[in-house]
Amino acid sequence: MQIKTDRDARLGYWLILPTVIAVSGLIFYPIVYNLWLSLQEVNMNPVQPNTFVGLKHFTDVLTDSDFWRSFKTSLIFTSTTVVGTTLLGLGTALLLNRDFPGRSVIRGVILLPYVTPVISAVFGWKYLFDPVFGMANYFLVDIIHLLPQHINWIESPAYAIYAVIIFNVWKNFPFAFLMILAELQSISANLYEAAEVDGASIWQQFRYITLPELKFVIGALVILRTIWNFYKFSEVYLLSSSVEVLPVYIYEKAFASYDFGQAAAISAILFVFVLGFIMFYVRKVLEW
Amino acid sequence: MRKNRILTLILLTVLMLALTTGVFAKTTVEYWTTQTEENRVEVINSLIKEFEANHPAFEIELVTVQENDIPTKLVAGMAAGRLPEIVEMGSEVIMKMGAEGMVASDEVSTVINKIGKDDFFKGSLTMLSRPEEGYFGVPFHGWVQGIWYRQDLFEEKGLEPPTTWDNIIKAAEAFYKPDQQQYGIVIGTDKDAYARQTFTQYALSNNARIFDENGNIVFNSPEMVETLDYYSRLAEFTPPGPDGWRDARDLYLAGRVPMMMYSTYIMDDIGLEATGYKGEKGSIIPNLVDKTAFANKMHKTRDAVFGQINGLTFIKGNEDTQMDGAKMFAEFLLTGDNYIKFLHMAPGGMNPVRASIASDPQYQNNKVLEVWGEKAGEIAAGLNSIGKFGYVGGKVFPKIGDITSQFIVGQTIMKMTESGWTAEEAAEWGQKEMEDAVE
Repeated sequence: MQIKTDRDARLGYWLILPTVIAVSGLIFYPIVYNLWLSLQEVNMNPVQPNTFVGLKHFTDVLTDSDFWRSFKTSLIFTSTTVVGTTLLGLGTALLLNRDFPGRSVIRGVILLPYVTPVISAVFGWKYLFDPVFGMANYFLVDIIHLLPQHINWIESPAYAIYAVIIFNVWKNFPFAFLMILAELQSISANLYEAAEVDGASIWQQFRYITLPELKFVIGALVILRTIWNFYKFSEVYLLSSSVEVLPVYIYEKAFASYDFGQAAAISAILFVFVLGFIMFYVRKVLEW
Repeated sequence: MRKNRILTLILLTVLMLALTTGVFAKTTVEYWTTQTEENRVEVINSLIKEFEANHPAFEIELVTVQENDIPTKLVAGMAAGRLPEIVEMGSEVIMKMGAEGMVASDEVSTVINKIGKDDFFKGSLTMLSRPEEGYFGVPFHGWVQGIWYRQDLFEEKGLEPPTTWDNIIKAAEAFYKPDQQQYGIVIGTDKDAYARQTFTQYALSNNARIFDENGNIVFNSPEMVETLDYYSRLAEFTPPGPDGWRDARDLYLAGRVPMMMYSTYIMDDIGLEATGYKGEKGSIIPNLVDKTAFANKMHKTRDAVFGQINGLTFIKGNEDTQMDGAKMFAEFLLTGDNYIKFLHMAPGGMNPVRASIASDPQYQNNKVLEVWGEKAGEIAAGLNSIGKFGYVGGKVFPKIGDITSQFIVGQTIMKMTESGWTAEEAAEWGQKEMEDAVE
């Protein structure tokens, strides 16, 4: 490749310079700084220097059973919420794609969980699942006697992961719903008419018309939600500190153990993992 | 000509404005407090306004920090090189900052001496000083923890007051009826500061320590294992799942537990109803003050009282003028009417550390304190004999801060209550985590 140096090209370089500065300042600098941190034993006192420790943090992290437990929790959380939000969004979109009175109102109401501020939703859920006064326990234990005794759904490490998953699905499915609904409305009615004439059942129409048309939007939703939820901190940590997904683990390494170097190393590992996943997914699943 | 004159006039005005703002530029003093409740912030803001009116050169910037977030905020502030001038925090946090060389110890001594060293309760000064290095914080206010219990229900069942291990667990078992959502006791069983605070009192009453006198970690001692074992057995009579301070408060006020561990801050809530509180009907048991008693001493092999002294301290490395403002503000907060106004934010909860204020009729003249009557005085007396994990035989171990910031005590308890570990396993785990933490 030859670098152009004529007047037009030089003007061109000047014109893209602001973008280059913005991108390197906002994206490359933090990444490089994080990588640099991951090789240091960071001293909390800004006056004293850091010590270079090479790849020690990486070997420490990869041999730490706590890390792998968090990794597993993160995988469970991400996979279930991605499937949950997508399926629930798809189902709701299919239902609300039909004509019925009050449809636009319902469509608006469905969006509520998504637009509610996280912290207010979290407090609502905390009361809903309160171990003593909560509606959930009252219904499950005292009314229908499904469970023998009240459970602390939100704080107990054994159950908190379910609460967090359900909460995340409830909070985020409207986004999937919105995207899928928009795509559904662009599918031509002619296709369904033709299929009906050919005698296709409802299932066959869904399987051979709706799904292929939705392939790309669902594919995009899955990849976006995976990235978002793999790094999800607020919705998990605010609802329950008992669910140690990786972002929470990093937070505690940095701010409770004051081990910034190791926290940076974990971030770097996550970065590589998610990048690998995205590349695989885009090539093999989406076939872009 | 005329144009020129107008121009000169404009220039002059601009210049004068610039000069005057330069002269009257206020020195900003940042003040961190752990009082986050809205009504307390209001009181503090009104005190700040009063201070600023009397000291126009200074501007106080209030930052509220949740107790559990202190370690995080301090680290972030340190890393960013942006720490406040004056902070109001618990004694362990202040001692840890002192050990790291962050505290302006001379300034602290100046303020203590100016207010009058002899007027401070001795116990409160000890918690904020190191024999060889002097004072790290000016004592500000304190609370005492213990078991608050329903005297009426205890008498009905013929139970002894919950002052010994046997009495406590016997009573907890007697009241535990989970199918009616009635539970025996609330103690801390979550990964938070509350769990460490409630556990400490059991440990100290059995002479179980985190540090020995040489600063070695002795969390796996037989005494500690015994305490952990007892604590997990007691936790069987608590409401489901990990419990925190909010559960203790809400469930006791609503009459779901007859016993719970809490600091003196509950006096305000319990006393509310008797002061003509017109809140939600049925949210508080009627006449709860008369039915409540407080066991602040616990006994197994020795008596133990637990509590906290909060202090004010100054951070090194700020400008001299800012330091002056911080010192003046600290003095202002600890003097006369201002101090009383501050303490009345949480009557009974915040106890004075100055003898002259404790006996001041104006301090005692408060609805909640009057409702509690003599009990209030007895409770405050506990302040002088507080024991803590970080203080052993007159020595202070600021390293406790590394252990508390990771909530290792709470996590150890959860290993037993949530994952079914034995006390020995949990103690070994805690020992290892603590050794790693103080490394």
